[in-house]
Amino acid sequence: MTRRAIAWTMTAIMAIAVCYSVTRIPVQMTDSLVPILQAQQTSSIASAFSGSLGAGYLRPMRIAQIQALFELSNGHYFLAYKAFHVALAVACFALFLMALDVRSPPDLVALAFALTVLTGLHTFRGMVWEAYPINHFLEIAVFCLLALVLAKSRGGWWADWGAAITFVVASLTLESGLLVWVVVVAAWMAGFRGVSKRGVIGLTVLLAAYFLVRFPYLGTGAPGLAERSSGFGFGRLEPGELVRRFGAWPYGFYAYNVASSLISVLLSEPRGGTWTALADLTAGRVSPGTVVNLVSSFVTTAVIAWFMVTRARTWRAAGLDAGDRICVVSMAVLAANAVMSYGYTKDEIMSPGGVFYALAAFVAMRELVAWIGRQPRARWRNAVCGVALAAAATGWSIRTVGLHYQMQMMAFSVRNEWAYVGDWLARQHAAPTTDEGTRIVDALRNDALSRTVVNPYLQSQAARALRLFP
Amino acid sequence: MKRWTALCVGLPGSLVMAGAAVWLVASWLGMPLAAAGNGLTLSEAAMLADHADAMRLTAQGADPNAPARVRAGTIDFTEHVMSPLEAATRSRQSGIMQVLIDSGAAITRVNYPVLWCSANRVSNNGAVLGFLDAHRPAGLPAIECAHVPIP
Repeated sequence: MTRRAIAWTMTAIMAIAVCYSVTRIPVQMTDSLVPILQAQQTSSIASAFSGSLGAGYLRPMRIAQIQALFELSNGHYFLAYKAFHVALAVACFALFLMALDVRSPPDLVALAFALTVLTGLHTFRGMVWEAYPINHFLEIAVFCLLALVLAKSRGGWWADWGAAITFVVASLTLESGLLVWVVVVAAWMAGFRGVSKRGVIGLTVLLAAYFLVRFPYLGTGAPGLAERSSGFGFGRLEPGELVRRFGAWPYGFYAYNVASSLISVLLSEPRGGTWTALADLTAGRVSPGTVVNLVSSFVTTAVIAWFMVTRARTWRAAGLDAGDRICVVSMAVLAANAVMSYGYTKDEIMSPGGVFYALAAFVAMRELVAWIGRQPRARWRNAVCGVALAAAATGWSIRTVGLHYQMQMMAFSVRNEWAYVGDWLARQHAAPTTDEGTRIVDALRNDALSRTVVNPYLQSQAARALRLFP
Repeated sequence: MKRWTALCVGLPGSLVMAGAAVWLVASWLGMPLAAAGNGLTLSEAAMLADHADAMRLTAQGADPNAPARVRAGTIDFTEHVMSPLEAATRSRQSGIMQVLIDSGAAITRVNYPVLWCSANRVSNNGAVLGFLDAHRPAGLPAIECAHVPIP
């Protein structure tokens, strides 16, 4: 078996496991039912697209995709939406591997590590354990990875056009789709020439067009303080409190959100803008899960920082190699992703940043493994390195297993929610008014209740301990 | 590359992949998960706040008043036999009790003392106690839990 084949096998196992957990979760009631009922009342994909242009956000492709899958489903809603989710997850893993050059034994070792960073990081969970009914955060991460793979390719007209189409679809799906432009530009500046200079200029023109259409033409604003609650310090602030404290000068709050989002990927804290670990530490009740999260993230970020510092000297003298470029693009995406989270912090928004963090972890860990191999015997340093790396790798592995546990919990919770769908729809004032709508609700409810899910209360104590890994 | 480095960095992830492969193959072969709720009784569903299974079982004709097995490891280390309502008093959730009553379970002067005293054994059980208060049969005398046998 070639090393390339081993790498694909490793990635496939991780991908299939995630997809399996995805398919065990019923279509969500709280996030998916209303959009599906709205799709039922919309006449076509075109009207779904155009109808969403006057809304508070510019996300017409998001609505159009929900509509398209609804029309394709022919009544098989679970199959249609879950198949799309699975396809996105498979694409995410495949593109993740394609973005890396796995050729040598150290590459395989680093890949085993990076795959657990990818799936164990808290930002990944939001891409797979829920959907609305499409998980657009996962979609954006896939688009960003696709842009990187195009930038790394040998190039040609198709790469330029591919990057342009990817940008248009991504930016009209979610605001974080603008990260596709960041990926392409950062990749070009770092030395990847798959997308040509002309392609980069074209993408920049499209970016300018996006802003012109969004702000002066459609008048679609940016998120304001009063739209939702947000984490701040050791707690959460409701919209009214946010306006009272930051309404006159919101830039300090925005800076806090940017910094929080960036640090949350690097250190797994704060979460949603709230410094839960510090609050727990102050109260003297830090959970083992928090310790595992912090240690694994801290060691990995330290390895990435070591890589960037040691390679910086070489960059000036001899330029960047492929690994360096991936690391540079990853840091650019991470920073841009954090800047785009200025309005409020949320784990899911940072999911593209999380995926690129895992790419950077691969590059840095591969270099560290090779560097240690070149060092003469130094027992104490070997021991320190070994303990730190083993702690980080074990921590990420536990977090990966915890992801599947959390997804099983989600399946149990979502299925129970469907038991009371009538009450929920009444509270939301969203009860279907047509026979077809009622049939959709009944079909989804029956589908959810007929599924076998793991009851977390019947699990062993060891499995329940995974609940401690948020 | 030094072997110990490969082990430290790569072994945990490789073990996760091996475990995932075993898990996937076992699922593909139809091997039941230990916690998948196979053979779940209505009493167990009620006690474990498994609303969906409680609804599924009652829809399939399970008697909401009939005592049934609650497997060892759920309440304590021994198996118990109790009615779904009695089991539900341990769930800390009143919603599951309403599901049972909607399905035909009865709160009577006979079983109320057992339900009340069972609920009082559980900490943070305000929702269930409030529900029982609202469904207390009229004219029931004060309950002395010391004299009420609880399954």
